[in-house]
Amino acid sequence: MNYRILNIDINFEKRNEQKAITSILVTLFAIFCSLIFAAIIIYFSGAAPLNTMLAMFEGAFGNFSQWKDLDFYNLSEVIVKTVPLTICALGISVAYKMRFWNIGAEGQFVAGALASSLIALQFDSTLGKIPLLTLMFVASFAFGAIVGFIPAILKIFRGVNEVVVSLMLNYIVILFTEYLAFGPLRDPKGFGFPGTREFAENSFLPTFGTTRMDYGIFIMILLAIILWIVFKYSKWGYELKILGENPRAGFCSGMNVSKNILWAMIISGGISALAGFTEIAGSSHRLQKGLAVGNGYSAIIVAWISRLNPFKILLWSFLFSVIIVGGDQLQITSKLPKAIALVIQGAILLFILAGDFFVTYKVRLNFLKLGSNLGANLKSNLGSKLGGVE
Amino acid sequence: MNLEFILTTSQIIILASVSLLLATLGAIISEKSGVTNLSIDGTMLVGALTAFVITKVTGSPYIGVLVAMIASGLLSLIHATLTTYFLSNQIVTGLALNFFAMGLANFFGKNYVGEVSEKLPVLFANFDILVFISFFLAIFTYFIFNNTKIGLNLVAVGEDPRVADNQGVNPFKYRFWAQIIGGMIVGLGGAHLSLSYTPGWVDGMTSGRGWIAIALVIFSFWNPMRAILGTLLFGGISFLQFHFQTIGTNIPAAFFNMLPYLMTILVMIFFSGVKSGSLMGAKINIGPSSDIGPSSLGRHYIREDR
Repeated sequence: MNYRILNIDINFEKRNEQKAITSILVTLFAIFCSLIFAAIIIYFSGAAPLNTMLAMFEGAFGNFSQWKDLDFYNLSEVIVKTVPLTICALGISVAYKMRFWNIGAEGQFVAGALASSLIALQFDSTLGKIPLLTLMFVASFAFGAIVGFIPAILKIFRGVNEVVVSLMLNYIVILFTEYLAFGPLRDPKGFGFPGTREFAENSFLPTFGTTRMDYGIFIMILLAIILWIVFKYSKWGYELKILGENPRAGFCSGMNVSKNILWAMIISGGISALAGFTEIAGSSHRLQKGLAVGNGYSAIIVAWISRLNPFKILLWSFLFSVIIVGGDQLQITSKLPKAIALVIQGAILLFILAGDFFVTYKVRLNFLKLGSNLGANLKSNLGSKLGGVE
Repeated sequence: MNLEFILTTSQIIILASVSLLLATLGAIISEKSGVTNLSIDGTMLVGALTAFVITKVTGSPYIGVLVAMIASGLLSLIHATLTTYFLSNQIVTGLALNFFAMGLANFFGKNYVGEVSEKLPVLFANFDILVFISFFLAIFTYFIFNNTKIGLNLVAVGEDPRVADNQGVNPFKYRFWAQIIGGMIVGLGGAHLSLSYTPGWVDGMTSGRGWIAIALVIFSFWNPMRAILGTLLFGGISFLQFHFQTIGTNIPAAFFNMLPYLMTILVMIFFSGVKSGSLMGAKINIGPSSDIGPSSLGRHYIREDR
């Protein structure tokens, strides 16, 4: 490819092999650029950029005096946040592997939380801990799978755009859940508290000591390992990959596209919903407003940046949780809106998308002499052409 | 059922559909060039906030509208550059930009929640200037697409960029500018929200209108005239919502709030027509491209690739 901007001739050539180091450098550069960008918009909002960024960092990791007292509260908050984000991103990665654009993770997450809560409300005084948690787990998966099933089946039979349907389902599921939490399921003794009663203790996932970190971490890590194995070694994972990269080739070699879409979305929705289960059983212990804080959307960014690699998803989720928790703390301490976290996340992805180009293409700049550029260029072009003719 | 009721009803329906119509038109223009654009909602939010803030600062809603167009045009510049020149995945780019814009709008809008500013002045029967502009633009775009060289070139680029390129039409330029002009019109839609329909600024005030617009693009088969029909339909739903809430029913408000989203899914089911005989195509077509839209929708154009 060839573009011309003023007197600069820009030439692109596809690289023969993509090097991992370029990709890593591009990623680091992207993070750096997004932080610079964040600093600029913080500056424009009237705050001191460096102090604000440091406050975000402190919000996520704690400060020196806290570390001296072995107080890692902030860091534990980051990990509490990492769990639902990772699980949603893992769920999304299944669908994205075959380029089925599920953006309904938010709704699937809420559906999972709703299912867990319904089970807990019903059985938390009659069932033991393990059967109850298992039932909640299964119900969450089932609810999420149903929500994921809808865009898949519509895609298969009517060719309906899955992006729009899965997004609309987010709104519907969230509105419906909020209606239930405010209405029929509302705690009658809650003095107008918008939400259900707190569930009994045998619906709680065990926590590590006195922290808020719960055993959801194990679910998260286990899921990542399973998905890594599935993507890498199973026939189904291979089919998903082929259908994502070249659907026609997959179709022609006898893969059943519809069946794959269906299963990918059932699993994808189910996994995302498990995040709702860990949220209810692990930390919130009741269904209330404000459950949907955008995990499902951040998870999309995480999944894509990680290039759908489950272990990279773990890493990036942690990083994004740092940004999100840092943003939350910022809002508490310095009244700067926490939306800064969303800006940084979006910026990182945009910079990486731009940078990816340089991973696949080699760029050559050719500076032409100003002033005489037109004539000289024309001459050289003509000359080479004539030369070819002669 | 008297004349006055019918008049007010139609006024409400038209007012409710203006922002949606503008967003849909913007999306149609950018998608006609063959680029999927999922950043509509975020662009609308940025348009809405800019219009509100600038109006508050300068006191003139018209300047607010103009600056909103520029701001959303600048935002679309990112989408245009990344998708046409940097060959990034169009869907992911759109989503990323959408979140980015949402974050920006919520970040800068924080201090403006609950404030008031000038509204767009009413010209005629409760209608402000954007009402007329939106319907005029729909007809105008239709005319451009079908009767002018620029429009036909744009459609050609959307259908098959390689053929267009061979005919001397530069697909990169058309795709680039279609994104920016489309984005500016989407921003107008946002401006109508914050300056006229629901004056003021609230976090996430589009409540998914941008996504409904994307559904309407499909409903209207990428035809601006049909877009009018679709947006009026959704304007009617907003009216129903409004009407039932004022007269009061036993049905909880949540279900009325769900209506537009349910309706969107229904509309998609009925109008995402897969062309007859191409069921196999539908099975292969993973990704949001469909048989009725521009043929190259969602695909990159790389000159060297054969």
